[in-house]
Amino acid sequence: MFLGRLNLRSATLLVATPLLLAAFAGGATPPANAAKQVITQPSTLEKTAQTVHIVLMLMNTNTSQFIYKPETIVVKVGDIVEWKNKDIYQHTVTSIKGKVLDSGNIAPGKSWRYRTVKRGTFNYYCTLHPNMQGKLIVQ
Amino acid sequence: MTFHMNKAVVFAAALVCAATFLPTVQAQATGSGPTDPQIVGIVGTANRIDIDYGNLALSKAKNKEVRGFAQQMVRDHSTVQKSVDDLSAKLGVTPADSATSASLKAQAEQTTEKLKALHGKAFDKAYIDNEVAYHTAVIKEIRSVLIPDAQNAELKSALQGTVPLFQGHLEHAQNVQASLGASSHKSAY
Repeated sequence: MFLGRLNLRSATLLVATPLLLAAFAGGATPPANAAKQVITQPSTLEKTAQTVHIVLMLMNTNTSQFIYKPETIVVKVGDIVEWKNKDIYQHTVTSIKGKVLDSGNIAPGKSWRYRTVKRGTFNYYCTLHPNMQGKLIVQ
Repeated sequence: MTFHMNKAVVFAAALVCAATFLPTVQAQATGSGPTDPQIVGIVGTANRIDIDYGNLALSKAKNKEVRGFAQQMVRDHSTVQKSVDDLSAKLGVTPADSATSASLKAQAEQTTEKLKALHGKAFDKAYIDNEVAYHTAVIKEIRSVLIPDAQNAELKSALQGTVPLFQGHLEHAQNVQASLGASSHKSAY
């Protein structure tokens, strides 16, 4: 499911892996163009891995508040944000204005993913516990 | 209109009485605060009452938001209760009755009878109004009595952990209350 949703970037990842294996499997000094790919591919992999941002939903025991951690997250258009419910109660990720974010109830231990499609600042909250609020900034 | 307003005022007054009942009884019943077993008993009673209110609402309410809220109350308060039960077992604390838990039960019986007599939008509004008052009272009790008086550090911490939950419930109830007020003010009471 994870790879399936990544589409083009997952395809890059799949292409990159055989190239890396081929480069190392030969044992001998690789051709100049292959060496270049070995150097450049890791950065592509790194970039792919960074496109999923994690926001945790939990209770801050120091302040006794439900929180999204980080409270504000800044991502790029096309990036995926995954909210993970680490709490023992259900929570939601719901736009305060508009309907961009509308997760429905997320059970404890479950996650909800959203792929950003447009730039903007999206304030959201938990409809079940409205004192729990966060901000998604898409650049 | 005047008649309706008067009824609303009387009902609101009853809810305010319910909201202020806990600390009053607590102050009268004991010179010192409740013991840890009594605190566990009070929390358990308060949880069961709200679960019962929630189940009553699920058997009577039609409004989607009200039903969603009631489901959440049954679910969240059951989770709280499990945490309380687990902690009690761990600490070897047996829940004990107190004047506060007894008054909570007595008040809940009266409120339940009132709610059972109502139907449709009148029930929805009365249930949500009561939830606002009830959570306000419980939060006040936890903050002003139970947390300060809890002797065991883990129990104190667990009580502190319930405040954001109940505060969240209160704000959710107020949101539902506002939506009901906007759509059903003509038929309520």
